[in-house]
Amino acid sequence: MKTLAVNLLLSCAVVLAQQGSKKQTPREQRVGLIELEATSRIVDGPIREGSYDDSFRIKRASYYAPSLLDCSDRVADAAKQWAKIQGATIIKSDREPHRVLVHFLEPKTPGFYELLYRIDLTIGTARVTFFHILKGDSIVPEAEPQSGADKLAPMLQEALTCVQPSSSSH
Amino acid sequence: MRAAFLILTLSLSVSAAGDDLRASPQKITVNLCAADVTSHEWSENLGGSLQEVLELGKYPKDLKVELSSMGKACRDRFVGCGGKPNGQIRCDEQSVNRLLEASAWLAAHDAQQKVRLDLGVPLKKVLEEVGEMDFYAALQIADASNNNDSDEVSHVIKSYRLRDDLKDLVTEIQKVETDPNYESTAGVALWIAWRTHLIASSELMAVLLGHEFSHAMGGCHLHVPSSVERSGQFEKLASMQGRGAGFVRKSLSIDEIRADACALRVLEEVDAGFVARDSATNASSRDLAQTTVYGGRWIALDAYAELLTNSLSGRTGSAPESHRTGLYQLGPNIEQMAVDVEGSEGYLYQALRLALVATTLHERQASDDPRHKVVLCEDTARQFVAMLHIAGDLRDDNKSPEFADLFGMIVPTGVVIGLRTGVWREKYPGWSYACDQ
Repeated sequence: MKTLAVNLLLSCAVVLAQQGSKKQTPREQRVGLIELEATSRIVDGPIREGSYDDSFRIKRASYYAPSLLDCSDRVADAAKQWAKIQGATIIKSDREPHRVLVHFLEPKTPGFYELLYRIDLTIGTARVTFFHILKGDSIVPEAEPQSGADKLAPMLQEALTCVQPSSSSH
Repeated sequence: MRAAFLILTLSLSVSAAGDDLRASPQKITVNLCAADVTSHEWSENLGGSLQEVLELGKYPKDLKVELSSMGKACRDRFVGCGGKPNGQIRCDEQSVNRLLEASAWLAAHDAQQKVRLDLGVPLKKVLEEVGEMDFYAALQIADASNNNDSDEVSHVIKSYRLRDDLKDLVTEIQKVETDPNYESTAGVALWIAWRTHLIASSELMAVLLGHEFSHAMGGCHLHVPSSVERSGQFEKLASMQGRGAGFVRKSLSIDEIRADACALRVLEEVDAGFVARDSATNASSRDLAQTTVYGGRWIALDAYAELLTNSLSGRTGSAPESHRTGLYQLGPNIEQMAVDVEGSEGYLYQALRLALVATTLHERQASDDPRHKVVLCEDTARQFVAMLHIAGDLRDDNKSPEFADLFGMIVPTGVVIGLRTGVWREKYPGWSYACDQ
């Protein structure tokens, strides 16, 4: 019975994971924990809160990366390292040129985490986001545990602005 | 007791406003907050320099700026100012107040010197009459004044052999700032002192608020790149830090970089505005007007260096007796320094921020005399070198010839020698922080 319940939970998570970040269902809550951007262009553009942006729970920042590279290897490695530290299970890991998508399940944490990295070298921007995705109306985002997610932010920042290209760069 | 609540609404009528930023807030509130209720007379008079920044800095004419000094403690501990895209800017009142007050003292002293020099009194005799004062001395007086310690104010005045009537001139500056109908008998000395202070405080605020306003407005209202952007120096320094080339690699927030770039554009416009006013004056008073622009730039640079080294590195208020302007133990040997001036995450190194402001002001013509160029010398050079040694990825031999090439224009010859040789000993041939004559 217990195994069935776990399998059912995993199946639901996988279904949700396959939906990726495309569309938010009415019963799905996406809690933004981390959003990091990097751009190789200083030219005029919007000026947000910068170092004091607290609109994402853990961190939101945009970096200047003078030599922007495809750092998908580093991002995927950071995801694996974090999962190991947290004891989280990677339930989905998609690697495409200039894109990484990872879904994690963490023990005792409802829902799942989604990490998405994308880079567009033609316009010189890269972005990595980390969301906690919850399902069901009964879960209040404010009550969602964040333990450990803060450790991921510096790892992602380092990976996003890597100075050596990924081996799989295209 | 200071006023419990003060709101100043500044409405503008500028003729050459920059392009309006779409979706930017039409109203910005600058909230001054303080850790205590000691004297904040100078920051309460911030309206004058703020008005100049808004007008000369070509902010949109429909932008309303409210200055609020409520005498309340800051919500959290910080120094300088911080801006949010919702139009809210918070400034730590004490860190701003002491810089403005010190600026007034130094401007008044400059005026006493200038009046005598114009009368043909030899420099040596002028110095005997009015004493010698630098920004550090001015800060000592400002700090003592903010602590309501009149004995200490008198002591500092005496120790620098300043004239007793210097304080009167400073008081007069404040009266002129607060009362537009005030009629003084102080004459030309007051005019020089007041205008030098106005230019210094406006240019300091141009850098400080130019940065924060761009956060609050969600972008920069000025679209013409500043001289350091056009020359490529801005991007070069940012790129060096971002790549870890020449400097210890430290991440850079694109928002903070763009805000710095905007601040430099505002500074350039404000400075150009003051210079343009000079050209409108008659020939006889133009020399005096140019003197105030030149003097104002020096003081603005001193104040900004102090903000970066002392205030933004986490120290506010009075420096300990044995310390000079954030230069903790920075003695004859550079290795002795123990300053923490790395700056916050996401920002350009403070050495680079100071260098960009110095370059911007250095490249601007102040007068008909081509020698009238501001540089980082004396204490400001010490601060710059200290900051550079923290930011720089230095070689084992401590030499940094690439820095000499990068910054040689804005430091005295003696500092260039230090950068090239890596030797920072007082008696080393040619080495010095002194301003070039």
